[in-house]
Amino acid sequence: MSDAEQRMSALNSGLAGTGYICGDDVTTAVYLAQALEKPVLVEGPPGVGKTELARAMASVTGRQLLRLQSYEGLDEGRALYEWKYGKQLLYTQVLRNRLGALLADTEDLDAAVGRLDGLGGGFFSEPFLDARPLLQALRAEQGAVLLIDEVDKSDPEFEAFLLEFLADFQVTIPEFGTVEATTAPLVFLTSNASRELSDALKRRCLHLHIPYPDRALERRILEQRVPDLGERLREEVVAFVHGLRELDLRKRPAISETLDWARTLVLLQAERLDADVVRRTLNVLLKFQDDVELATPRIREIQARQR
Amino acid sequence: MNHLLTEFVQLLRGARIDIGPVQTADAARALAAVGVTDRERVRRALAATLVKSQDQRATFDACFDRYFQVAGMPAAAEADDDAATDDATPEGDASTASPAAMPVSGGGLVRELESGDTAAVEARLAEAMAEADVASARHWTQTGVMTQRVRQALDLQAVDDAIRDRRAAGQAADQLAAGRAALDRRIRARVDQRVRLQAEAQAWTFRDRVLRQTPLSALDRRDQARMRELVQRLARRLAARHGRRRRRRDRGTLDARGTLRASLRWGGVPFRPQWKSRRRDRARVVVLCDVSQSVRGQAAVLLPFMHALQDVLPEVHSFVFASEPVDVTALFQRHHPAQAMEEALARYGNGSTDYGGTLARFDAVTDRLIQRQTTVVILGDGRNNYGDPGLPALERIAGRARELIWLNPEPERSWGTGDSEMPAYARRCTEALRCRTLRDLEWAVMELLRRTA
Repeated sequence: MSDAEQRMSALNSGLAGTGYICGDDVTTAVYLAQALEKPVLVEGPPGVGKTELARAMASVTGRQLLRLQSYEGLDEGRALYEWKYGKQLLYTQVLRNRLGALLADTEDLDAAVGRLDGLGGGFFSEPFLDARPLLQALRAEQGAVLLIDEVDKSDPEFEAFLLEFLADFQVTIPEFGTVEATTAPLVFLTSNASRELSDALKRRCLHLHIPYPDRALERRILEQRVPDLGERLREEVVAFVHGLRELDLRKRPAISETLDWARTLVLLQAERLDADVVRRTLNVLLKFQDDVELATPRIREIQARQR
Repeated sequence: MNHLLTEFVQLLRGARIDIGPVQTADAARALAAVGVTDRERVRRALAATLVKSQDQRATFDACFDRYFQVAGMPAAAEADDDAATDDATPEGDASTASPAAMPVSGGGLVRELESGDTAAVEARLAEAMAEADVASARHWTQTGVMTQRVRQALDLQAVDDAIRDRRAAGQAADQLAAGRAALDRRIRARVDQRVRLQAEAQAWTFRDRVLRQTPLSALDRRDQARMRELVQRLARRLAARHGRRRRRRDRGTLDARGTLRASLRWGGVPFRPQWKSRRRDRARVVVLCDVSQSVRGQAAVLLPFMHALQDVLPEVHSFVFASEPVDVTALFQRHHPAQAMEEALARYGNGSTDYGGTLARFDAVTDRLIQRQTTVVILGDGRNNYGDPGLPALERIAGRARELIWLNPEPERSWGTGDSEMPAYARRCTEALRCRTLRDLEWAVMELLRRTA
């Protein structure tokens, strides 16, 4: 077994140890992200564990997880840093007298300004800086795991802003100069492909697509996450969900739905998966009434086919 | 390895996967990080660095499978091939005339062929293929030329000379001759495979270009799948570009009242200026599409296209008609566009075209739907079998809508000939555009996006 191979399999079992079971594609991408110090763009249908991957990596590497949820209108102020305006204002008020005394003996305005400048950064210095996730990630001593969630929801402008950050792990703050990462953070960007991301961004990232899991993988995930579910029931659950995914649904059930459903079945103390139980709990798996209506009459059919 | 990688990247580029030099460098680093001993691991590492979206993955896999078969990575087929060549070398000769007993002439290749050192010959072949620049071939007719070039690069002439010399001197040369024949077969197979790979990738790019200029009605079944893919790509591109444009228009003016209100937090100092952002009324696009025999080809492209644009076009409603308009919006929301289209055509596509009746009905049912913010798009050839053209109804629709765009698959010069009512229709529309090819359609949709923004 080669060195790289060993480290990758260690990574895979490490992830499994935190409850995140994944295939080789995922392990390779994450391993490369560490080796090449490049961000990973994780794509895939909702609910297959994109966000979860970052969380698992944080606990495997023992690094701090910083999360930045993207939305339309997200700007640098929310993502990178902001000045603590309130504190600045409060301090200028409180310190008004001291400042007055300090500047009392200056002759003219120029001299006063000169003296203020001599005080160091003053109100635009470290204590007044409110670091947001991106800056926190750069400054973390031990390195951090940075999760930029649903990056496709942000504006193209924000995406452009991310480019500098992702390429060199550094940002430029006008008042401060350039801040470089002490340890390169492990960056995950997730996308549900609601908007085509720019090529420039994609070029800077490793690409990872997490599809719906195959049966074996889903079985292992269920085994790990919902151990109370009996073996036979687990088999039936996986088979049924896979049958359901073949239907023309608006929102196909993903792993998170399978897990919810499995937990529901445990709670209901279901012994086996008969059509009645399925019908009563189908709304855990399917999130649209259309889908429920489409699937309900075909429950028996799906079960028969998967057997 | 680096040579293999750059050639592989060339191949991917040919197959329409854009890869920048930085990505190639990343791929090289990735390979160094994971090692090259395991084929699947190499595949995963290359995929992570070179592929940018999931729809490229299938193409990537196909290229990978074939390229790394040809180029001699540890693939099973490769090993078989070598074994076969070894068997072809007559063993008997080797024992009777041991290589050491013979005077060696003709250089390294002769020696390697005689001793059956396939690995060394293989390395030479790979080198010669690179030297002959086989990767630059663009068409299968170049196979012959390329083969000749590789032969020259390998200096097969020297081997032939050596065989002739030995035979003239009465020495055994059968083993060498057999080795040479086997090598020649291998050269031809290799070059052929490589050129074919290359030419195929080229052909796709070329075919796409042609497809965009082919009349939509002339597409045959085989092209239609390809066309759908093209339409999807186009729609996504337009969506991406358009999404950007809309944002840019949104900012600009200072919201004085808002700024004042916000400044109260900081003792009246306007720390944070507020900007006006206009909330637009939800614009709407209503498509009325002729699905009778004559315009089918275009309809089959336009409707799925409009729905693929759903992300940027605020709200798309579609109607199809032959003799009377039917609302198919729900159909398109429920099903995959291609499937919905097929169903719409099968269900409503029969019957003769009646523009007069259709427009009158359309006017009546869209009374609520078409309003000040609505853009109406009509796709049809305007050929009405000399019936009532229904101009008053069209005028009413045009009056209610913000604009009315007519897309006609016929070229302008035939508008107005025979039973075509097109000139009269065109006068009542904000714009009448020709929409014969995908390129026309792309242009028309760009226009539409600009207007609905």
